[in-house]
Amino acid sequence: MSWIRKPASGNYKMIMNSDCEKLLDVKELTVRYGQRKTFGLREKTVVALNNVSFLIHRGETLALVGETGSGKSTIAMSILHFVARHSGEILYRGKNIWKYKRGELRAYHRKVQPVFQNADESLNPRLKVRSTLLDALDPALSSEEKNRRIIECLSAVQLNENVLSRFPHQLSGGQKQRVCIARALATESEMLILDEAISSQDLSLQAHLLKLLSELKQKFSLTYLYISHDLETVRVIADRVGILKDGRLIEIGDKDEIFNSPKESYTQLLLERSRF
Amino acid sequence: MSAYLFRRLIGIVPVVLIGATLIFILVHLAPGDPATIFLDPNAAIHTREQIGERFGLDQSVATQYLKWLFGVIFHFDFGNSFTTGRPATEMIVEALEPTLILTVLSLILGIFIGIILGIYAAAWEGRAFDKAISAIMLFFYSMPSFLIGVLLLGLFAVRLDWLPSSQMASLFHNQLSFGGRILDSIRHLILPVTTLGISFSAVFFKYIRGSMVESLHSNYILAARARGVESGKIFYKYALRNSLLPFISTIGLTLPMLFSGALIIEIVFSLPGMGRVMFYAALARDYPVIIAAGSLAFFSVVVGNLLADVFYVIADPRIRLKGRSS
Amino acid sequence: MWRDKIFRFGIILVLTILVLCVCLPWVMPQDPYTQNLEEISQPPSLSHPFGTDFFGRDLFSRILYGGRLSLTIGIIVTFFAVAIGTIIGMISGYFGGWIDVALMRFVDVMLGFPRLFILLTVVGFTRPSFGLMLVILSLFSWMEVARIVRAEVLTARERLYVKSAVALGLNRRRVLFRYIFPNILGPIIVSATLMIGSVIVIESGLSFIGLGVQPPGASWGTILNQGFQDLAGAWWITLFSGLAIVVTVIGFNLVGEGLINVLDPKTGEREL
Repeated sequence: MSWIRKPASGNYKMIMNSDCEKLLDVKELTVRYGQRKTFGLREKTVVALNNVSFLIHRGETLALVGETGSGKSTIAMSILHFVARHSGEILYRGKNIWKYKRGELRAYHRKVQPVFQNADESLNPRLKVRSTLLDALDPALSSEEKNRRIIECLSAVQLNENVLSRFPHQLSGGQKQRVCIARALATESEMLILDEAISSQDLSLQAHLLKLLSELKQKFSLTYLYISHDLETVRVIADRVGILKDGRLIEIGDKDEIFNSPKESYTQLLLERSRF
Repeated sequence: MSAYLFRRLIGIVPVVLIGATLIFILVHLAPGDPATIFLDPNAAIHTREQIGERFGLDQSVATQYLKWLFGVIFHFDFGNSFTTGRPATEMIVEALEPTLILTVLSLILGIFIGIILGIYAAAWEGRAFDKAISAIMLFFYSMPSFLIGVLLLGLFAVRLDWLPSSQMASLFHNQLSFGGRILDSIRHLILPVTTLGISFSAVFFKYIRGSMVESLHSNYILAARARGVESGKIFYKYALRNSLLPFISTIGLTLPMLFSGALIIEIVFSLPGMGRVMFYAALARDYPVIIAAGSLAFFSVVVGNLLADVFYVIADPRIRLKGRSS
Repeated sequence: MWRDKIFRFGIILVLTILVLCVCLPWVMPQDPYTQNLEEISQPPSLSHPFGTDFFGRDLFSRILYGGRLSLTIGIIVTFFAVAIGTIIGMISGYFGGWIDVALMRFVDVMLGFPRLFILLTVVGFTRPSFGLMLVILSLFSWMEVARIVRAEVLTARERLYVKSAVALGLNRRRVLFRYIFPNILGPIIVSATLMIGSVIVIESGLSFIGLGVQPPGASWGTILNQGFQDLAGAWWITLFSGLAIVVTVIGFNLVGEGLINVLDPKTGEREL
């Protein structure tokens, strides 16, 4: 198990006190869609993110909460380097991800892995689970090592080895999402971007997956960016919470602060609504 | 909208330039010296000199190209035909009239048949009428237009001898009265126009039926049904309108097909149009004529596509509104 | 797959014609090139089911041999056109940017030329031959496929599984061939099937006006042209060669239409 890093000290408060290592620093990020200039004629644009800044520390779980259209997913896509037009910067370990060279970008991608809401869409329908996981492994490894890791990743997400020879459409929704998580682990990632990752599962499965995610975080000393519209799951998993509204980050703070004494009336509204 | 139009107009410039270049390359790709290769020994000596002069074969390729382009753009000069000695553009313009008459009439017939049958097939989707019409139209869709022409010609002109088999008019056309002349023209045009009309209608039928069926199954139609909107109104006001607008731009996109169809039908029915002029120019390797005809066809197709796209934007409120708010 | 009626009918039609054209010329005793001046322009009879032409050659054998030629051209040209179109469409759609703009402008240009015109021109500049026709038809038939493939790639590129693959740090070639290509294969197969029919039509048109396969070689278009010369007398030449073209093209169109239904996940099964 040499490739699994020693778990960092589990307690979030401890990390915060001992060393405040910045993993990801998002600075004044603005993203527009539909911008296009032709010889000075400008067509209409939509602002998806407006001057958003926040920090993610190593080992913490930052939750971003907002309604549909608040810009949650655009943040995920920006951090994943899938957004072309933007202003502002995203620093990963102090370096701007939009200034990476191709090799650096590849290495960065393997460290920051996404898990999307729609597991069905996230798996190539033409590849069996084994191939999907193999693609995620470092190609320099020997085939025995690869096999061992695949099994390790599978057992980490509590999947049986017999799924390896199946196609995605032969799996249940929960199994598919676990394969996605296993794939994200297989790259030796440091950080997972969980974009509504468990929202489309039913409630009992959500509870189960939340527990699994917490275990994985400990075991692999991961950092989570947990994006959701659902405050209940956020309450369980998050260390800090940010509230998004119409492309702006209107409030960000420790979980207890946000849940017990929210400053913004919009946050209060969200909290009230989630109690029913 | 204005930004869109502007971008499209700018976009046309490189297309036309590349097209002109391709035509030029085509000429120069032909093996050997055009002055000797393309001429049969009977060609007049001055024609031979003319070719050398025209293409400035002693100059560099770049100079030749620029000169050629300059002549085409500013003087509309494609040179003189090797076979008749007349300016190529003059021959083309002359041949354009029968082609346009044939194409436009066939297009109208094709659209008429295609739309009517397409609408009713979609209305009775899955029933016997739809199946029968769809089968017949698939048959015509799979049939080369010249084959339709040959069969119609064999039946009505040769076997039954009801209609003339070739030309746009009889030899004594000019001696006829006004009404007689019209009747004469109609008699000559019936077969080629029917041929092309059937051929086009199969293509248009397929499109109209497909898009009607699709929109009749779409959610907003179901919603309208659920609201209790009367079915005739649903059919004509909702489904038909949404199918017809994009259809108009589809016609623009089928221009190359229309051209090719008209070309070969003119050869079958010996009509003195572009198709025949090009065919004989190709056989005689009369390439000033070939190039002039090709450039004209190319340019009209490019403009047709542009109009089709612009119309599509105007017709689609989603695209239109997005552009207008700037 | 087999449950789709259109597809089943089409595939039976196509297979029948293929088997007839591929196998029967070896079994049939009559040689399509042997002239028999005692049996000139005979209508269909028991010894000559499709009749004879005005050199006394057996039309049935000639149509079978012609079918070999027409089908060969149809399949080879489609193969190359689809290959070119797929490569160009994939490059255009996946890399985007100025490469995309340049390639699509080029496609616009190529589509701007009516295909028959360009064939007339090129054939007019050179001597018609079998190989030349293959090359020209291939070079001027790929644009439609390129457009379809590009559009499919653009859609596929936005799929989460492709984004996930990019996030795995896989190189572009691997993403393109392992994640995108297998998932756009369906539309490519459909357009290839439909293209075989349209190439057969174009080829027959060219041969019909005398610029394609040259006599004594015979494709269906060449035979049809022969029939056209004697429309009043030997009507059976036109009828049978025309029928051969129509039935074959219908077959391929039906298979293509059927494949659309079969491959559409909304209506068919998902197995490919």
